[in-house]
Amino acid sequence: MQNANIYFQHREPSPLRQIWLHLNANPFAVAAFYFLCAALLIMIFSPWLVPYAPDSQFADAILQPPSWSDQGEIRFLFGTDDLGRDVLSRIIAGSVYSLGYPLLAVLIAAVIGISIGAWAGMSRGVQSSTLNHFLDVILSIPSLLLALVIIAILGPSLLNVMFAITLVLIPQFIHEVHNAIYDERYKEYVTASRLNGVSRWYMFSRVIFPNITSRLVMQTTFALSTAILDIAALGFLGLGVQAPAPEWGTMLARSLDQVYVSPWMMILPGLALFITILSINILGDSVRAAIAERVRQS
Amino acid sequence: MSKLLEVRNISKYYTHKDGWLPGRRICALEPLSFSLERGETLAIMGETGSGKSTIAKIIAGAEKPSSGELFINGQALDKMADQQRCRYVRMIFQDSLRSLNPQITVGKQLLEPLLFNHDGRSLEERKKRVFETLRKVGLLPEHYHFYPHMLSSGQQQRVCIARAIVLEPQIIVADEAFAALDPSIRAQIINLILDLQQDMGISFIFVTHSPEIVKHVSDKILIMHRGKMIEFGTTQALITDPQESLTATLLQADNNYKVPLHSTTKE
Repeated sequence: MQNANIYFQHREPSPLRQIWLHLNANPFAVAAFYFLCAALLIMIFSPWLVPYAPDSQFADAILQPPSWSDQGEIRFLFGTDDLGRDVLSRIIAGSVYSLGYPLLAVLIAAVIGISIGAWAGMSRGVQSSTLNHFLDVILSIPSLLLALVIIAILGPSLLNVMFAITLVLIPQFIHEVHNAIYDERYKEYVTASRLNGVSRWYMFSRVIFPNITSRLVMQTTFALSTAILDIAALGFLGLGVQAPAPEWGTMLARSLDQVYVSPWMMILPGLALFITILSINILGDSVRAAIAERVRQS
Repeated sequence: MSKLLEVRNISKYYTHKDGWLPGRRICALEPLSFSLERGETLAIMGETGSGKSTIAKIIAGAEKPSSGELFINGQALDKMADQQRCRYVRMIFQDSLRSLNPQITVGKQLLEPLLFNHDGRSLEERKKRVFETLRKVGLLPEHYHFYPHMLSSGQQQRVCIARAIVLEPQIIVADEAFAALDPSIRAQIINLILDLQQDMGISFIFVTHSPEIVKHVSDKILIMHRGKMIEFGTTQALITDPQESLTATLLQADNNYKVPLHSTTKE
């Protein structure tokens, strides 16, 4: 076979690839990245992955300890709870509530927030200011408290929680995008593009947006960990996802009664929640560090 | 010869606003007029903060003048939209790396001006044009796929020049474009610009501190001092018979910048 590459050619990596290489150098970031990928896959395929239906009760195996314990059985890998439900199945099925719904809330908030923020950032004067501060009043209330207020009015349900969390996240996205665009728009390369006679849409989508993605990634990871914590906290308080649904926060709340008898019922969902949030934060922070490193080097 | 560029009474005022109080007006440029003919090179000199960059930016369209008019071939340049203006006047910035978008490849940035002024050319033709332009400034078509940070500073400056000439404008404005380069690369870039000027008949307006470059390149010189144009004339006239002492100082190259012997470390 003919080899067209006779000479060794040193190719400097593209900006995105550079970030990936920086990330790869950090073992914690890599671990967090793979864990999150696995968690996402498990969440997507949870209906096929669960060994039992999350609600099915086994009367013969109530409060079964996990399988590595002496009294455990291998058919219930993580043991069973006080109603004889398989904890592993419930944790896997719960990832939809505890990871999928926050993802959805962040996605919706990001789409709305980034559009309004971009509009605010690309316009000037009163219009920009109005759009930027249009949802600011929401920022004055902590997200959990606002969720409580909305639930107090509309009643406890997952939909209301989602609504509250999305509403809280939108102004944060607006501000982040607006500020990022304002930081960029007087830089020389933007002026150069303006003198090229580019249209406003091209200016935003091709010139400025690629340069603010890093800040958006950070904002998104931050929003995601907030959303996960809030949904779990409201589930724990019994105001969000309602009891039979296998949400991790709800499972924690239920396990409180039997914490001395069956600690695995509390530890396992808690661990799932802890590792998920930890890896999201580690990944977000590493991405930020990688981007800062790339900017410093160039 | 016809006047290519005519500048009539342009001035620039900034309003320095501090809190709620009405701001103070600061004068960056007092009204000045001059004109430039086709193929000529104009050097703008002056001390730091004398408004020379402001003139360059106003001509290139990066800033709007507070008053006055600009004409190119008799057409009002300051009324044009950026899209129309870029066919006549292009700018090379001071810091080449900062004036290139770090996230986009060089080729795509060079396609950018063509994208909105393509006159019905297809993408293939536009790419061919970019390749030709890259060759013209001494780069290779391979550089199309490079990101700005992969290039050396001289190559980055060449990309900036390529971006300026890709639309075949009539005037190129360079705002201290040579200041950050080391002498050998500076010589290369200046020779490149002179070659391009011969080939394409472009007029150059450049802002600089260096009297050597001015003597080598320019046809006319404009001297600025505190926002005022204090002298404007041919290079010959200003060097042989300067009317102002500042002109003489700025153009007197040879012993002005020499470091006294005692201040250097003895090696």
